[in-house]
Amino acid sequence: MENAQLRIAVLEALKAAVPGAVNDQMRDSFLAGGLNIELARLEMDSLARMEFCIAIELSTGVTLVPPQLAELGSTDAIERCIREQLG
Amino acid sequence: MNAGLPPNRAHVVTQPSSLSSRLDRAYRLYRRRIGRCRTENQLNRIHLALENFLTPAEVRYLRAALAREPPDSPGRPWIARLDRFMPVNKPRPVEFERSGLFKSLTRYTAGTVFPEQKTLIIGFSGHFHRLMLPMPWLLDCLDPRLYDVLVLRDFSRRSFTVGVPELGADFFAAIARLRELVRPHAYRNAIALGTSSGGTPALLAAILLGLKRGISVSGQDFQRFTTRVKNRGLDDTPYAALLASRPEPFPDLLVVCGAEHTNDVKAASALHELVPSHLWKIHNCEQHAVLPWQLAQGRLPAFLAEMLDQSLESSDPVATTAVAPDGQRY
Repeated sequence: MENAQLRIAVLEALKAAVPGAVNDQMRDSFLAGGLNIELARLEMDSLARMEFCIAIELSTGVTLVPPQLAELGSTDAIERCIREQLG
Repeated sequence: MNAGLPPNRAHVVTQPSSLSSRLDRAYRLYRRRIGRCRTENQLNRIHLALENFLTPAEVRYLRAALAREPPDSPGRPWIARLDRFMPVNKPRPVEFERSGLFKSLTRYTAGTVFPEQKTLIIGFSGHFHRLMLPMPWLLDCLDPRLYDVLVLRDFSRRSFTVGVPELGADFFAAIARLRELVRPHAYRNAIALGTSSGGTPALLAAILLGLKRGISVSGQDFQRFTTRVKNRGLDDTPYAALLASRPEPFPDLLVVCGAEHTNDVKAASALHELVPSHLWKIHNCEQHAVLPWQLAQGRLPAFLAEMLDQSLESSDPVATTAVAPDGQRY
C-alpha cells in the first residue's frame, strides 16, 4: 500500500469514527503529510474507537484493536503500525 | 384503524410460539455469523449493527441463550454489557417487535393497541445510525402499549439532505412519503426526536409534519447544516424557509445539549436563536452523547419523559426537573 493510499485510509477511518473532526484545511494538510493528529484531541468514545478500527481493517486488512489506539496516540504512529504489519 | 404501514399487522397479536421460533432463528443466525468472525473488529461490527436494531425482548432471549455457551464465547461479554445497562430490564405484558419496513426505516411496535391510544416517536438517527444509544436501551424505557417508534437511518451520512432512499430523493420528498406511510396524526401524539446530525432534521420534520413536539439532542447548528446542503450543490432555500415558517399550530421545539460541551452549546444556542424553542443545557454534562450520559446517571427514563413531556409508563403528566436561573437543568 502506497503512503498516499494509507493516509486516505486513515483519514476515511477518522471521518467514519468522529464526524466533523477533520475540516477541509486539516484534510488537505493531513493528506499532504504535514499534519499529525493527536487522537486525544478527537474525543473518541468507545464506539468511535471501535468504528475507527473496523474502518482501518476493512480498508487495509490490518487489524488494530481499540485498546491499541491509546498506546499509539496519533495518526503518525497508527500509520507506522499499519505499515509494519503490512510488511 | 391502523397507521398505514405495510405489512398491515397493526392489530395482529403475535402468538408466543411464533415469537419464540423467530427469536430462536435469530439466535441461530447470530451464531453462524459470529462463527465466521476471525478478528475482534469483525465481532464488533456485528455487535454494533445488532445494537442498532435489537428489541429488549431479543436482548433477554440472547442473554439466556448465550448463557448456555462456554464462558469464553465472544457473545457473552457483549450481551452481558447490553443487558446490564437496560434501564428498566423487566419483561412487559406486551413487547416491542421490529419490522424493517425498508433498509433505512425500522418500526418498533407491540401492534396490539390502536394508534390513537399511543404516541409515535419518529427518530432521526445520527452518524452511527442510532439515537445515541443501542436501540434496546431506549426502547426499554417505553411502555409498548403507549408508544410506537420509527427510526430513520441516515446511511448516506448527509443529515437526510439527500432524503431516504426508499422514501424520497430529498428531505422534503422523504418526509412527504413518510407522512403517507405513517399517518402521524392517526396517533394520540407524535414527536420527532433527532440526535447529533439527526437533530436539525427532527426539528424541521416536526414543523413540516405539524407534530406536537420536535427534539434535537446535541444537534448541529443550522448554519452548518445549510453549508453541508450547499456544499453538495443543493439549494438550501427551502430549508431556511421551512425553519422560518410559523404554521399553526407550531410544534414545541426543544434543543438539548450538554452544558459543559462548548461546541454543542454554541450550536444549540445558535439554533435556539433562529426558531421559537426551549433550550436545555444539561448541568455538568460535558459530553456530546447526552443520552448515554443520562443513562450513566441512572436518569435516562426520567430524562426521556421530561423531553417527551409525558410519562413513559402511563397517561399521567410528568414531573419536571429544577431549572437554574441560567437555563441549566439538573
